[in-house]
Amino acid sequence: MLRSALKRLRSPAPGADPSGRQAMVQLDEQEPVLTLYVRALSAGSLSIAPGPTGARHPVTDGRTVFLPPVLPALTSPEHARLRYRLMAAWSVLQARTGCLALAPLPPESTISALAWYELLHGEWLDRQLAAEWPGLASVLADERLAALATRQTLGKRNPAPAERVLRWLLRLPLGRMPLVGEFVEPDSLPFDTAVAERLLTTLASDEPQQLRTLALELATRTPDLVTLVDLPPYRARIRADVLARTRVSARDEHGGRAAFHATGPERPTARRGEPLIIEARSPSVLARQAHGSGRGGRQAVQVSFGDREVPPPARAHFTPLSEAEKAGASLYPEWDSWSGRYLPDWCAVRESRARPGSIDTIERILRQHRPLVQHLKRQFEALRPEPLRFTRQFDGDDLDLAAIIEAAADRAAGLAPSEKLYSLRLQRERNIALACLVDLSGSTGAWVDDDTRCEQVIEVTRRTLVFLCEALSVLDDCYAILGFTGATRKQCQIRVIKGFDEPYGTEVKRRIAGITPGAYTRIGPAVRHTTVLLARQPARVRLLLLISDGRPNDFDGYGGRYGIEDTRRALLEARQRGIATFAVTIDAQAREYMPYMFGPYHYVVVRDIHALCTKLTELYRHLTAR
Amino acid sequence: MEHAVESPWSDAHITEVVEEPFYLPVRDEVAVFEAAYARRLPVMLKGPTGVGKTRFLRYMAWRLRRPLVTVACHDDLTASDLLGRYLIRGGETVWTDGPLTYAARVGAICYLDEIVEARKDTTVVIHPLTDDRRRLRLEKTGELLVARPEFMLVISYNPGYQSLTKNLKPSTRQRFVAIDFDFPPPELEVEIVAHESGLDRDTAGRLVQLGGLIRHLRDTGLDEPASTRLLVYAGLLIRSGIAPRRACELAIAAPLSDDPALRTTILDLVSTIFAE
Repeated sequence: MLRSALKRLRSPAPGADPSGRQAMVQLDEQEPVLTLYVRALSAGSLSIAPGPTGARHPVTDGRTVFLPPVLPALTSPEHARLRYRLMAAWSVLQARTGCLALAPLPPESTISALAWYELLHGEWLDRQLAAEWPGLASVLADERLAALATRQTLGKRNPAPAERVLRWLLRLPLGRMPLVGEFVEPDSLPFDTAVAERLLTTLASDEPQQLRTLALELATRTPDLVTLVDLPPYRARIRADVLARTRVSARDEHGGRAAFHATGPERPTARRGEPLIIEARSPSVLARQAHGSGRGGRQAVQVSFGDREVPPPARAHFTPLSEAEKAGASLYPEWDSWSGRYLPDWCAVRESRARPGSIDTIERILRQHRPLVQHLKRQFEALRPEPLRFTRQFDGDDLDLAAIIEAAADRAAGLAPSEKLYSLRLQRERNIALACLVDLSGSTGAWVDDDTRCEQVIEVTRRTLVFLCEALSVLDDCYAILGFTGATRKQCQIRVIKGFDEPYGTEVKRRIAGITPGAYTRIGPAVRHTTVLLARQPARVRLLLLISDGRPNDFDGYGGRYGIEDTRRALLEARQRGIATFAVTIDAQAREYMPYMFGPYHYVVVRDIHALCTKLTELYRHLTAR
Repeated sequence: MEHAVESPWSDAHITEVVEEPFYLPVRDEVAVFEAAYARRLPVMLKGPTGVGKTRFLRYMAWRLRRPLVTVACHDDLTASDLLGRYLIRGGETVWTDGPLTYAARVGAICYLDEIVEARKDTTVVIHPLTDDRRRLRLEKTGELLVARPEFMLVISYNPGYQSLTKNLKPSTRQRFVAIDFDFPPPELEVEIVAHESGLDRDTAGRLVQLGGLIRHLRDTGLDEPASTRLLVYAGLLIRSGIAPRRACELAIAAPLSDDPALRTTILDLVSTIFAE
């Protein structure tokens, strides 16, 4: 059985590179589906990211699962996909069962205790996984056999005690827990039968607590164990060695406060008790972030205050805007969640035409995406109101003369006349006004790169707007596109890219071409201003659609809870005025605050930013379809 | 068991629920409904599709021994479709009650299913029946109909629709006692799926586990998460000998989404839960 498993693993995949080079499957290709997969398994508490180049094991910090960036496509690419799934599921279970956050071992534990704990907890999780998700049991069993085969063929002839125990355990089936003597004579183990029995009982138990006691006990029996044991690759490693480093770096970066970046794939988890394991950040992620911020990216901008937010001292005295600051601006209140009241005339919003760019940009987009644009237009044509008058109705606002004549003729002829003598006119015009509010904060200058494309968020936004306008051009819906940025309450800008009364023509196209990343994301005043503009539109349905890449944020204390509360208020005000609100965001963490601001059903997180372009159009179609 | 009573309408039907329908109460909804019935308050059943709103109502109709008039609302439904109209029969015009008028006259439970599908101007005709006078003025006949004491108005409403045109006006919503329906807790859902599909509890439990995972995907573009009804459908296919993975693909993954990534994810979840 072992030999065949090993042979299977080593035989080249069908269609493999004849030069003998191993075919590889990239995580990037799998990321959209794996992200959703992990989200479903972890109830949204975990996300995935690529680990450092060359990584073999997954690693998790309790929020992110870092997966190996590539996996060999051993027997087939599908097999590699399956292994990615196994790794992800294993890490989800590891985080969920509390193996990460339990503080399973005292801080002064020896390496030997850590090694035993890691080994036992992995074995325990294997069994939990097979029971919880039986569909993965067979691939897990294959992986275990393959790992065992590799160890026996390539490993030492006379292995150390921990390695002996691991090989013994890997040989045991995953379903029913066997008895001690059933698979291997206990003499080959480095401890007596009683301990072996206790080991099996502990592994079969649903509670992981006993693992800790057992690991400490085994450590006293093997004091000469000074390195961690090499484990099967699907198991996420516990990295005790990084713990100390992480704590220091978390403190240094934020002046000793428990403060975290609101966005970005990595977060220190040292705040939760005393976890044994912390793999804080994968080097590639760090490199990517540095890369992003170096090119005008989000890190410089998007820093929030985390949970232990304190009111900034400036907020203690409420200074009204000066006359100069008010000049030429529309004034809006702001909801101060610290004191639970509105601050009247607190924000100055200035509306101006967006600066035009080069029309070539838009024409290039249209040229490149002609088939897609045609497709979107066709879809939108289906939204056009249908014919308005229905003839031969039971009831209606007018008589259907043709039907009456026919009925009279029928009656005269002695036939049963039809009862459908009316015609009915149905008001079916769409009568919709849309204000599309686009986040043009600095963070939209961040770079999104996967292997196929490297572009800024704002480029994707630009494309999205072009597609939306093109699609809307086949309908009579009245719409405006407004960009917004904030740089403190004194300078909230609304850039009119397209006004309600403007046609979508060269001028508007040039303005779309001209959008550039600005400052911060002060959503509240932008929503209030848009509400006023929308309320003036004589439409039956009014929609405020927000496109954003992050949470509310401005540098004069408008962040964290405060910004979220104000935005929520602004949206409530809009809804009270009969305006429907909806948000599309690309922030992976949006689930933490979006339901609170927009309500549970009125936002969508677009997982793949490149999909935003088509997603938005699709969404609008869906939202406004009858 | 239920008898369909012959009805003159195309969009509505009358049933007499004779035998107790299977229904497992999740919270106090039965008591709340009975209280509303006793106090002549209209009720709104709120919740996603396929979680048992209609089943609950059939159960209550059986419990209260009232006929049930169900109207499947759609956007061509006019006020006359609800209230009634003159029909020309031979040389005469004959007034025919619509389902709402009929229910008020005989004292039935009138169930307007998916009320948001109806046009807003249609929806307002129910208003006079929802206040304490419970009267209905039929303009065409000049009749002022006072509803029988046993008459009860029930509407269903799915707040999860991400649509602007399909929303209930506050003036309508505020006339109802709202009973929230959501996916039942796992233990109950297992029992429901097992009962409805005839599966053993283990397999039913796996289906419910799958449903739970898929429901975590709601804000990623999945319009409606896997309902109990879909789980039951998958269960029925399994019961008929279709392999579990295939059954879930047919009854759950395919109906839920056309988006390739979401669909692949759902299939991956299926193959995580069910072994081949």
